Amino acid sequence: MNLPVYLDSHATTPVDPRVLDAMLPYFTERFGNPSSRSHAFGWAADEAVERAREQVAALIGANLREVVFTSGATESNNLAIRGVAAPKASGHVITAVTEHKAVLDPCRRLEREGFRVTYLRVGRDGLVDPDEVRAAIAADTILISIMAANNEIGVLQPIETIGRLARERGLLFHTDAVQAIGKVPFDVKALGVDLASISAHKLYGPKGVGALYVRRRHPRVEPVPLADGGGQERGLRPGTLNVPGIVGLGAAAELCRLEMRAETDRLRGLRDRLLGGLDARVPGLRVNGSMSERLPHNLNVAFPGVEGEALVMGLKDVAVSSGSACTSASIEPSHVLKGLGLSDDMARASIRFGLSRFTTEEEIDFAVDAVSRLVVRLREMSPLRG
Amino acid sequence: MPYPPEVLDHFEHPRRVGSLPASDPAVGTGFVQAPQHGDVIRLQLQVAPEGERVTDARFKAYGCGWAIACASLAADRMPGRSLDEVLAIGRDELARALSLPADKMHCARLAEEAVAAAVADIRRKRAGAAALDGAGGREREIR
Repeated sequence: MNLPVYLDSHATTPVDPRVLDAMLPYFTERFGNPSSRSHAFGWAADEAVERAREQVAALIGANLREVVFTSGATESNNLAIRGVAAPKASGHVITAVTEHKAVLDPCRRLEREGFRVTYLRVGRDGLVDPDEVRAAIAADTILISIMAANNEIGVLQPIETIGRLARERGLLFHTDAVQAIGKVPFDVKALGVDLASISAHKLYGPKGVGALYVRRRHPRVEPVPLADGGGQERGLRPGTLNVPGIVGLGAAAELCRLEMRAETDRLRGLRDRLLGGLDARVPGLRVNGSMSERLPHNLNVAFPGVEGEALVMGLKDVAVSSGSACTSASIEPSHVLKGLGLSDDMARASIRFGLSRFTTEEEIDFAVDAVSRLVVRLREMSPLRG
Repeated sequence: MPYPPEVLDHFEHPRRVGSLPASDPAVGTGFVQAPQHGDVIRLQLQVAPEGERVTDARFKAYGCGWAIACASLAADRMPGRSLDEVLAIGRDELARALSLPADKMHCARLAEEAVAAAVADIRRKRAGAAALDGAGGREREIR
């Protein structure tokens, strides 16, 4: 077992060696620009990009012309939200308080530009209530944006129900699906999604590349591009394509499609082993968010009586992330955990575990032992407990 | 950014964790909380009945690793010092010794406040005892 153990897979995942193998030739001998229509270098690059587009489309049940390659999920979210709003002078957008900053910040920009945004609350389980989505819809609503799976607590939002609702009311529906795609079944037709953001480095592909699913029919969705340029990606995302990255995203998507079922069962088993092991050794542990509607490889738990920042510092052989960041002014508890209604202390006591394709049982047992011992030690050091 | 080795050393091997009897007239207790952080430090020192030097010190802390390291170092530097010398253990001394980055200075400040509170407590106890004795003879020593 190599130390430190990596259990922060919601932040990023390693590139699968098979993905890297697929990418490497496109840095060197197959270096062509897919926009070069007049020679073999360009044709080879274009062919590789189109194969990757098919691979991504196959993973999410899309038509291949509905996949637009981008630099990653932040760009995809911006293109979806700002791109849909751009042709209008005003309007109303519905999202949720537990969204990623890459959705919340574009929404805040829209507010500054004269749009209205409803930030829906979530329940203690972290889930959006579709009835509240329905109640929030106004005459001028143009877009609903609700994430598929949360990056901190891993809860799976009722996307299919919200998609059906959006369809009934003739509204566009975007989902930041970065944490879900490749991990759990995700089919744009079954879910009624019009726009979906994808990131390669969350599914064992490289950083700096992603995609946006853009529905072409029923309805035809036409976001305004964020930049002007050479017309690549049907003008939606001009700029020379990141061919090695796109090849990597395609290869990663294909592996996820082929291996998801087996991987899901294995990861759920390991995750439950992690929770069971911690629960047996740490009294008072609390799981944040729904356990049933949840990614198989996520665990987010609060260890009352200790601060997550201290846990992270003490776990030098286990890479995890805490629900807060200690800065000079204050420890800012995660907006997601606060959104669940957790107190500041409980939010600060929380740790996120993210398992991956490469996580082993031995690593889980090591993490259980290291975390348990540290929590006990820190609690003994606390003046607030006896 | 990796943690400074001095901080890790005190966090992983904290010095003088524990408690002294707070009601003991020879023990001064400082209990401070950072309102915005929730971090809490309890720092205790013991002074010989007639003496001025600190003979023992203990701490407990709840908070981030930086605050725990500051409390550990503060407690470790107390024994052997006079009360006035203990009061000199301030944020600058702690920050320098632990190589604290600027955005963690609030942790050193909290430890400094705990030191000051512990000294104030023992001085209050001694002033109270002196008043009960009806004699001001020990006043200079107490100050």
